[in-house]
Amino acid sequence: MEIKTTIDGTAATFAIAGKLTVQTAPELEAAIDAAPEEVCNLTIDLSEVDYVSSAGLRVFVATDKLAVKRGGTFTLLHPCADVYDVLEMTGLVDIFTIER
Amino acid sequence: MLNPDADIPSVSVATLVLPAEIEELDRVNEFIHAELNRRRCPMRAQYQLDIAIEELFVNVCSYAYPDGTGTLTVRCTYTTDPASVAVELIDTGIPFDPLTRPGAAVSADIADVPIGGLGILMARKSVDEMRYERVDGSNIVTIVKRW
Repeated sequence: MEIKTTIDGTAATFAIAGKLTVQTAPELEAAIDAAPEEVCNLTIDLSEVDYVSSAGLRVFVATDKLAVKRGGTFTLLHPCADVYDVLEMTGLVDIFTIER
Repeated sequence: MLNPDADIPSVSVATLVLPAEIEELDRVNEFIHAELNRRRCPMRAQYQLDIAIEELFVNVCSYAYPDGTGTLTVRCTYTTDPASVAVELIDTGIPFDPLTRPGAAVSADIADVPIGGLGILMARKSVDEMRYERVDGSNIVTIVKRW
């Protein structure tokens, strides 16, 4: 899995390529933790992601909580159909802001 | 005309024994995918099976052997009619029924959503059947995926 972090003022985008599994999710968590504290609008770009397990969903939930705590927003970009399915089956589609 | 499916047996069983360690997840997936591809299992069904296997595999790695490491046996039974695979995950660790773990209830407010607990819910919804047995000191979790 690869992560490209782009920070612009108070906004950060984490563009991931690959699979978000129990093995790779900690890397995403570390990348998000490494963003400066003033960054409150957090976006995860899933355009190049073809698999997300519950370990990945845990990072999404934690990131959403972090954004709320910092008074900002959390957005998921462009999940593929299979990834959207797992967001749907867990009910997270109703909670997250998702741009398809 | 040659029938490309002629060499695919109507029932086949394959077994893999490996350490119950997270790092081995790729080996489990590769082991199952090779046969699923031969049997032309659609990618979507493979994806859903991967979701369930990852969750159950992680459970074994995390909970089965609290005092150290142990092994996990993955036994797959493939059938052509109906096109399906039954995957049994077998460990000899402490009794642990993943089906009794509460599924996370996702609430409308992000503050109330638990950070963990989504895994078993996803596993259940990704496959056609899931069951647990404790037999002769082993935990056996069986999942069935049809396509």
